[in-house]
Amino acid sequence: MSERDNLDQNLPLPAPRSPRALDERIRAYARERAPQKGHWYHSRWAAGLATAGVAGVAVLLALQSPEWSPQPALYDSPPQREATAGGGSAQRAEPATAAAASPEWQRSVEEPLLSAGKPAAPAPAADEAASPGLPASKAAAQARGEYYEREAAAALGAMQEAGIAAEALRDGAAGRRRELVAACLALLQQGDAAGAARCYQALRDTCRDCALPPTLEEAREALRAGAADDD
Amino acid sequence: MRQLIHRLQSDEALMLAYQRGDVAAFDSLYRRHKDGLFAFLYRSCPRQAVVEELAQEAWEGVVDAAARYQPDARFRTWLYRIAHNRLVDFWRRRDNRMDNLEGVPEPVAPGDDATQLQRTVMSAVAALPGEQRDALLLQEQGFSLGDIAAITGAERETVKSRLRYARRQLRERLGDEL
Repeated sequence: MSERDNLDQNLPLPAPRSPRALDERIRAYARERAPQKGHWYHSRWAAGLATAGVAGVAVLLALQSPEWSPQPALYDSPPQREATAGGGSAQRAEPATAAAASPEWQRSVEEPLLSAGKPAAPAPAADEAASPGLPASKAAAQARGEYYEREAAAALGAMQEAGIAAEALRDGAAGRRRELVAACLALLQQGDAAGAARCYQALRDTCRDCALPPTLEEAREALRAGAADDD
Repeated sequence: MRQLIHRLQSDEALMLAYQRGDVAAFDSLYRRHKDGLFAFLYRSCPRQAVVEELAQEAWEGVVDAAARYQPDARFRTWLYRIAHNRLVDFWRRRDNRMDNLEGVPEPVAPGDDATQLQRTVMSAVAALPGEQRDALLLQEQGFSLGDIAAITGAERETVKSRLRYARRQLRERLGDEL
């Protein structure tokens, strides 16, 4: 049921439309501030920063590896430098070197570097990847799966809620029906097989008299055959 | 085809698409809700200039929060919550009084096509206490009790009682007009 229907059934209140000038301002703002545009991690520097971050971590790990024997000039981690600059004595440099090797210090250096090189990801994936005990790749895959599932369910819900399919199918327009089947197929092409199946099922449920084939694959074949007939 | 897919997608899916940089998804989302939101704001505060400002602020709020948007709740409820917050701030600045709008340089009359009955009902709605008016106008937009509670930050039972009082007052004021 649309908002307009509700209003007609309830109080007689005015329903002015959003002015065109306002629409243009808001759309322009949305274009200007579209999420991917404004973020540094989508810029051309992203790849360079990511590489630098990984390289930095690799150098740090190599410096702390016992098998690796560095030249004295290179074996000069930041805390050691600070200690040397502060006093220059061997007693003061020693605890600083121990601190450099400690896991806490390593994490404190690595985390900003890693996060600096991290690409944009949907919030749920980031949250799950950060959760302890869950491997990042598995969490990302899980988040991706959940995202597609949500999107498919949302598409289905919207279609039913808006009554688009019902409206389109009731008028018996075969071209419109083909478009809707094609929209379900587009979901399939996007890799969302479950969403595509549910989309198609919603079409069939909405119009039981339309003689739509039982599966989306068969509908695709029928579309192809129809197109061939049209030719 | 892309527009058609957008039409089939839910608000939440469109918002996630915009989050990934699909500006056309925002256009679809905006087209879907712009008039409803504008009407809601207009009924709450019948001044064209103020409503335009509030609507713009609300949509800008959506755009600014897009990067961290998570589809935990319905988009429409979220949109109206943002708009409602802007509205509350606006009324707070004017001490919650409709007559304090006198300083706003816009005509009071509703749109040109508003009927006399619409004007009468608008006057009666304007006379309601702010919280009752908000609940009533949100219900007129098709929101459920739970949605109104989420938008206004009130308990469900509180919303129910606000609606009951609002309807009763309107009946008393309008009588046979409705």
